[in-house]
Amino acid sequence: MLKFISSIRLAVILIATLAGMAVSATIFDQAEVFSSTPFLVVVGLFFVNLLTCTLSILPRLAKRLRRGVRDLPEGAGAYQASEASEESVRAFFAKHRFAVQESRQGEVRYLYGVRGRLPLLAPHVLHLAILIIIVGAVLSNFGVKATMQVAEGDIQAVPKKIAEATDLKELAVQSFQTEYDRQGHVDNWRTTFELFGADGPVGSGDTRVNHPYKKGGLSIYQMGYGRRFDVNFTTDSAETSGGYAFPEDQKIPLADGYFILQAMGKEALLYMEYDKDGQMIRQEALKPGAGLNLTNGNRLDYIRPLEYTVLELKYGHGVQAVFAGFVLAALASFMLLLGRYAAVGVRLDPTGAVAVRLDAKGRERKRLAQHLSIKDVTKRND
Amino acid sequence: MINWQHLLMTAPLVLAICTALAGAASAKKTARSLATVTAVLGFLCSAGILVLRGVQMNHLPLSSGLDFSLWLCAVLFLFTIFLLGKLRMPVVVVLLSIMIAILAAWVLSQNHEVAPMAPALRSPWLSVHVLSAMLSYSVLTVSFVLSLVIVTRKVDKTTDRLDEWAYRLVLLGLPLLTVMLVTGSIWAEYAWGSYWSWDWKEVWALVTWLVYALYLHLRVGGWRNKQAAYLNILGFAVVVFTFFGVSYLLPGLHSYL
Repeated sequence: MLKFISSIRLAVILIATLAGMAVSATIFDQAEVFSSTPFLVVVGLFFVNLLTCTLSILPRLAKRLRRGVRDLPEGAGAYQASEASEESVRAFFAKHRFAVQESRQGEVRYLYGVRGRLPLLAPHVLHLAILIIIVGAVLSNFGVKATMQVAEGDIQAVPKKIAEATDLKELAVQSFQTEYDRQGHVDNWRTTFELFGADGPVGSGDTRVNHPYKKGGLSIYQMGYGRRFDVNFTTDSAETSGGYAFPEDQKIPLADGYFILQAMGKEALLYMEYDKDGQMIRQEALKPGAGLNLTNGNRLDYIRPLEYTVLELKYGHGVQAVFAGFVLAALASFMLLLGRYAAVGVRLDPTGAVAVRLDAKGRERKRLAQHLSIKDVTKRND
Repeated sequence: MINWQHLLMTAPLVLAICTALAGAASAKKTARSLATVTAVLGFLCSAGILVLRGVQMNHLPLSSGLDFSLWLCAVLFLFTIFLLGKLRMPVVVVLLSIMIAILAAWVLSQNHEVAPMAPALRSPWLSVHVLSAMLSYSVLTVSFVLSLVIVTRKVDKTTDRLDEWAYRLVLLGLPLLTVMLVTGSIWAEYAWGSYWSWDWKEVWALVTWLVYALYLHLRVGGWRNKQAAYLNILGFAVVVFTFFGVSYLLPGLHSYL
């Protein structure tokens, strides 16, 4: 049973199933597939398969990495007579960057050349990286996330779930700026803020797209921005009169129609009033401090534009684990690119005769056999 | 008035067609030399366009599907030159040139305007992410072409050799795909606040990775020649869908590509 759980056969079945499920998400509802029990079960099985496979292979791998010439496995075949001389074998090892060990048994000397230990380790490092990424992904699910819209100069209570997970109580936005490159194109948006706990300020910083604020398990991302208009609205009813932060480009209802506010340059706003049928009946431009008398005795006083920043607050420790897995996966990828593993045992008889044993696969084995002038008759060419 | 930019953009397509025609007869030395010359010119033209676009943009041209395809064309022309000398199989050169021609024709159909980069794209991760994607796709394209030849021939020493090459190229392509996924995820975490959003491009990039991982595991299990070649062809179909299909049919966070 354990053999099957750690087998490549099961790995193949699970990889194919995961691929099939991911494809099926294109046809069916994406969220349903990836949060469904069958998908999570397959990921769980994949984790177990990878873990048992990695654990079962470790002792053999360690032995293979530590061994000397006399430990070459039987499968590597018997020593075969070579036409190469000791000098040419040594030159070959040096040219192809083999690490060489020498040993002696009676009159017979042995050379053991190995290279590609890192590529040999690479698939196992990649497996370990995937295991860490899966663990990190599970941990990420315990994290919390929330969005805030805060105008420049305002202070707001942080969303409840962030407050519960951290010591934070409030966030104040000190400034929000659009940054431009030398060509005048938008380069980034920057929000400078201060964080408050129950006893006062606990930190400050800034966040930009691609450069989030990160401290401990807390991350603050610059997600977007928008504009509102700070106005004082006076009607004959005390209930509807008061200060408002109206959004841009949205219909605000009136008794006989509606109005829409739009930005005009950096400061001014455009007031557009429509009747019930959607016909524009009035259009006025207002600077901050200016006001308008509306129908039915209503009045609108424009105070100032309110640029608000959209921030995403995230708290959790899963990302660190996932990133550790990512770093390991990238490392394994580079290790895979470093070539292929090969070990060569060379027996040097006192008569000067040279015999060679190979532990390599595929074309690498053929190439070694050719270079070391042996007629390789073993069947480890796969 | 001649539109020089458009004219220059047609060069990779014309040169890919010329390489395919000369490559068809590349068993002969003269035709092989001609195919090599056209492939070298194709590479120089693709690289030249990229340099011009880079100068216009003031950074490495990597932010659109058009730029990505131009990089692919340039690298595939290099592979064609290499294979002309190394494999000496006209069919491989013809198929690879056809792949470049299709890509170059698609490039022609795209808007050539140089647009300013969105703030989310202004990240050092862009270069590593896109270049690793481009390199993996180019390597996997060549591997696909070799597998296509394998499935059309009887198994012999040549198919054995092609199979080994196709395998080695996947062995190179998968780590590059891994780097692409990893760097993309890290970048997404910094830009969008989430290392994985199940965006369609992400899902299909994962499917691509899984199919090639399957290929490598099945090779350990003994799959060779035609069996492995069919799976490799399926892998490439997924690559094509991830690049073109997802962009056209399943828009998401990567829809600017």
